[in-house]
Amino acid sequence: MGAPRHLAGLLCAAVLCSLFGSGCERESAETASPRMEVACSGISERSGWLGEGLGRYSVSADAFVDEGVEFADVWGLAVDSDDDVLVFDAGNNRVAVLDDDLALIDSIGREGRGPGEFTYQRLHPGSWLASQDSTFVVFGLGRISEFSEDGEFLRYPTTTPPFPVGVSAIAYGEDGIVFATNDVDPTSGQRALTTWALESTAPHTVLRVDSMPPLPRWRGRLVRGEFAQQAEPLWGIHAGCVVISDGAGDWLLRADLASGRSDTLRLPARSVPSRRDADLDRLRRLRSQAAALGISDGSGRRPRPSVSASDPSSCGPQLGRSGRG
Amino acid sequence: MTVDPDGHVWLEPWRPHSARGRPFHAIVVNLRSGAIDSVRVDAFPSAFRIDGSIVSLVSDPELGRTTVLLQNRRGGP
Repeated sequence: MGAPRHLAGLLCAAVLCSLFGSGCERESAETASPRMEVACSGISERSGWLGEGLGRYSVSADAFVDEGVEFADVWGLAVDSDDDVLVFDAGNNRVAVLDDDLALIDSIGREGRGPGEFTYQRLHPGSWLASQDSTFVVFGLGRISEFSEDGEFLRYPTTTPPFPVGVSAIAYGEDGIVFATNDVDPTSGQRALTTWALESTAPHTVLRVDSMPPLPRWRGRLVRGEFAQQAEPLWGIHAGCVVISDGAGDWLLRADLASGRSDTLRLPARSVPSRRDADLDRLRRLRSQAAALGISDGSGRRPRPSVSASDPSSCGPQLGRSGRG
Repeated sequence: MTVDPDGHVWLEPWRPHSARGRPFHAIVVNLRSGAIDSVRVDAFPSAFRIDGSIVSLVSDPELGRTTVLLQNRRGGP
């Protein structure tokens, strides 16, 4: 389940990433925008993970093989209330539970279509594992499963298949499970990042829709920047407050899901580091390998996806609209 | 992008492949005040442990291998 199965996809991603670069290009700054219209609650003055002064994080343990099985398509990582690490090892249809030393202490789930089972698919990867208190949820093929942190299957939070494709992330929100979809119009390439509330039955509720820059085109075909981790819409949540980025602009959109209010945190512009000879050599090597696998990278040019920031003020939410199931 | 349990948004700056695998500064934005900070990491965090460590995923496309990394905070720049 390891390298051969996933080499093509990862290789293609690497080629595209090398071609296009990556989004979210930021740099440290002293201050941010004074426009503060949204009051996100439950946020401490300083993150406990920043510490009080200078410091750095360095690797103390790593894991890529557990009991002879390599992780394959890891589509979600979380920490449970025991501080164990949960890894949604989608390619192996399991949630691996790792301890303080990243040693495997449990493996939850198996291949199948019944309760507590997963069906692997790789077409729409995302961040599909979320934990809260003593439970965690996993988005598998077409449905979400909720487990206790000791690995017992608890329930399907929704009875409504099929679940929308294009789910980029799921999370526990303030009032239940929420998820984000990265929607693309296949004709125009126009993108939208939609935030949903998961309902027990269809339709799920659209909490907000934020327009994103359209996909770029290469020789008339839309190029999935998402696949290349480039200019990919970004989404995160803390309690009832979501934060959204187009992956390239110098801003973060912050929105209170309860009130629908949103505002923009300005980030400083950042110059993009230039590629070196080693990067160009690697790109040529990857192109060669990709060609051997029958993967076309669009050949030698470097199309640049649109990285111009959307004006967040135009990212108008459409509140309360019921959506698809 | 990832959000830590204290409500701070972590952003990973783009860098060329030749610079990957080396430590870099992740940008950390306070979602309430907008204040911006940074911290040096070996890999961008995907999850945050209660004990203060962070967990990351690193993919090596050439080997087709995904590795989970545990990083602990240490003093010094």
